[in-house]
Amino acid sequence: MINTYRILPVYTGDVSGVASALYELGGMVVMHDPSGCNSTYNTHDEVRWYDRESAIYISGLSETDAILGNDKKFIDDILFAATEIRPKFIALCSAPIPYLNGTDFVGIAKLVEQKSGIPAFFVESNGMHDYSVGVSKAMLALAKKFVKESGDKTPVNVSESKEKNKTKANLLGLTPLDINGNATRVINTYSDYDIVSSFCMNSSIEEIEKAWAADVNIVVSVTGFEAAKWMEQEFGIPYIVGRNITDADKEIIRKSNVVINENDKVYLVGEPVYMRTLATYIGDSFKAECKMINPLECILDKTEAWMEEMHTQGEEDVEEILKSADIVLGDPLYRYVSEGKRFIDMPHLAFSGRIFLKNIKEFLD
Amino acid sequence: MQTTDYEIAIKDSDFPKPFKNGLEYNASVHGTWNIVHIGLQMPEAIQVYVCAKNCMRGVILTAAEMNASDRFSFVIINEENMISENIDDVTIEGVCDVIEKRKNSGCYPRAIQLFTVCAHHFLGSDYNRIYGTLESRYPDIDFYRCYMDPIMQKKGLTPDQKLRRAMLEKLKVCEPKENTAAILGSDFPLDEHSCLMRFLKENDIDVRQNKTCKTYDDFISMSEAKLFIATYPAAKAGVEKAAKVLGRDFMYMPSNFDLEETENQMRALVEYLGISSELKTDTREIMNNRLKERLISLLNELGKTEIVIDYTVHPRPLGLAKMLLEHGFNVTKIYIDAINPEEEKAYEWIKENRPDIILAATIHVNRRFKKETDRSEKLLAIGQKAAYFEDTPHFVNMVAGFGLYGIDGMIAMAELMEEAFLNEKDTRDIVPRKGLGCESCV
Repeated sequence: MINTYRILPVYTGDVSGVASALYELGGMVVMHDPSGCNSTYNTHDEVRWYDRESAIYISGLSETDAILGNDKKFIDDILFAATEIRPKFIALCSAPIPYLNGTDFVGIAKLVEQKSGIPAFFVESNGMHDYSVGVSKAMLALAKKFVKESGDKTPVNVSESKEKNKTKANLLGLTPLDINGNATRVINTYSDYDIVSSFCMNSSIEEIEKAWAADVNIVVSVTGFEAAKWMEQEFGIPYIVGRNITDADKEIIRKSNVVINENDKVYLVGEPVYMRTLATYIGDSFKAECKMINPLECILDKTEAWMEEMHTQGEEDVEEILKSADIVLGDPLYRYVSEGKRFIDMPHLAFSGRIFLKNIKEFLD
Repeated sequence: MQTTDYEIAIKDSDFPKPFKNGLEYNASVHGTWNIVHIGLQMPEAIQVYVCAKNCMRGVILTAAEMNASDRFSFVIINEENMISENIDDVTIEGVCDVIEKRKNSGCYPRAIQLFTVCAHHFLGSDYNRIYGTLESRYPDIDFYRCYMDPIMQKKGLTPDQKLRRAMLEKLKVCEPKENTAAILGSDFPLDEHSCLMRFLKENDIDVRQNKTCKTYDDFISMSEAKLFIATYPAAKAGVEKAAKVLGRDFMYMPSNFDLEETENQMRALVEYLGISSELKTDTREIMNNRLKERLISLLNELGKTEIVIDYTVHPRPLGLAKMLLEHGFNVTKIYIDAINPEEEKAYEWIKENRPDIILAATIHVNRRFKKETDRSEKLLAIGQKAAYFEDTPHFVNMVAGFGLYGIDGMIAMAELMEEAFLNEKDTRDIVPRKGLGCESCV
């Protein structure tokens, strides 16, 4: 059965993905759930929680309120919190039970916005998908709510003199879930561009609002793809898909001490845009035969897939596929299903959580 | 001190809910145990969860962080399973698939703690059919009915309490053995130096506990005990029920900081056993004096140092505060969201005698932005949450009472306070770790 797992974990869930995407923007994110979503998120999926404040809460839904459809408490609690902390926006997301009882989140968001005067929106979620879906939908919802053509094209964060000759770009798809915490490391590789906004790390909501002024969108993880497509449709901004390789990435491969021979079959498991970057580097440098394994629910359109990509659905599937590999590159927990293979550890926060955080920090430092 | 809606003077508070419910903040403090830590105390058992991805993530990584991934499997359910299919069939076939995979890899389980979730309740799952089918297909495996259903926790037993109860449901009906007692349902074993443990041992009572069981058979054999004891409040419902089902005697002896309450508990035990009322090694008077001396010595050391307590450290945080206040310590604040009904007496005492003591919520929305910093004076926190919110490196790193009991437990607490006062700890590193006392790979 594709739904059963003996030893591997699941990726971060969609609700955590929503919270992660919106973390740095000064908004308030409310998970409509009895308990657990918030704790799981801040323990395993959010490396910023201890040191950087963000208004992310859980509703504490009770059995009685769920059965009787008592949305009033939920709405009143949101309004009370909004009055107390005055967030820049209010985003709602849903766990399985509100999904099952058909809670009208769009209506609730509208009501909350009317009563509080604070922009509010629902990010479609139900706790049954992985983070790539949650992040992707959050970025799209954010863009739809805040990115509106208005005023001049000068980015908020770039001085006039500096930006004249550079192409203006948005970076789409940045969360610690995929880039292991250090956004600056990734953003710095795009110094040839004037960065208008980066969805959604190291940018303010005011910078996000200016995203329409960019000349190009750069999709640095699969989670930014939907927002890119929408902005192309809405503002005519073209997009490219790809993440620049960094010295730290190369260093991880070098330090793994795994010998990569010509024509070795190297299977890369993880977030597809990043894995393509690494696959390109490994293919070019070692003449190895690289194959992409995408275990996430979000996928790129075929037109964007410049490299063959296999999708997996669960532990059984990935275990079977990896049997043909000579070398596996992926999160260290994939070692459980890669017996006898040479293995390059590439910790992925969205998979192993904080288990290998110390290793990640080591290579980032 | 100025009060707010998340920090109020005890004199202005209501019992047992001092704060209004609302959206909840979750602090980056995770030393208390969850259902994974508790359940995996059962030797050789594995856990199988059947739930949606987002709900699964927390428990599976709890197991992974405690290096117990090999004792954890799961079945993911999605929209189709819930709406178009029969969730009970998905549960049954999923669990069977897990068992077959384990059989093929040479790790066939003796016992499975099967956790169903909120969605099973909402979709009207037939639990008898689920468990009945599994038991008939795998008669050599014990299936435990466990729940990860936090939606139910505001009424009745919490998932934690239900798990402690479920873990005792396969204890076998058998003849009790004379001079045996089992202390059941606690996260931590009862301290060997506690007056209760010493008393039982001095009187040749064979004491069995969860933690001391090495095998599944050891665990099941705890049913032979003639007397079942619960010292931890969350264990009471389960242990009492197990005693009733098996026809055992039951005593509830919750750990506390009240000499009179402890003495009453010990007296009841003495009467039950029909034996000498004093420890052979220590008279009660000697122990009382030792506690008094220890507290005086600690007070001399701490002076007017501010002390802040939180509810995660022990099931009786108000009782602890009362004891310290009675002995002259400068307790100023207690982090607590709801008050254990067993603490009503301590609550009333503090309200009457120290009405300005602050009760502080930990989950209130504003708590997210109210971490104390830039303190010039040393502050002693008792508990991880107090340490986190007060941003102090001086804290007693303990959860759920740590198995302390009686006067010896009170003395041990004083020693832990002294150690915390004298030495700094790395709060940032320690408090986000899950399950204090369990293995942790982070």
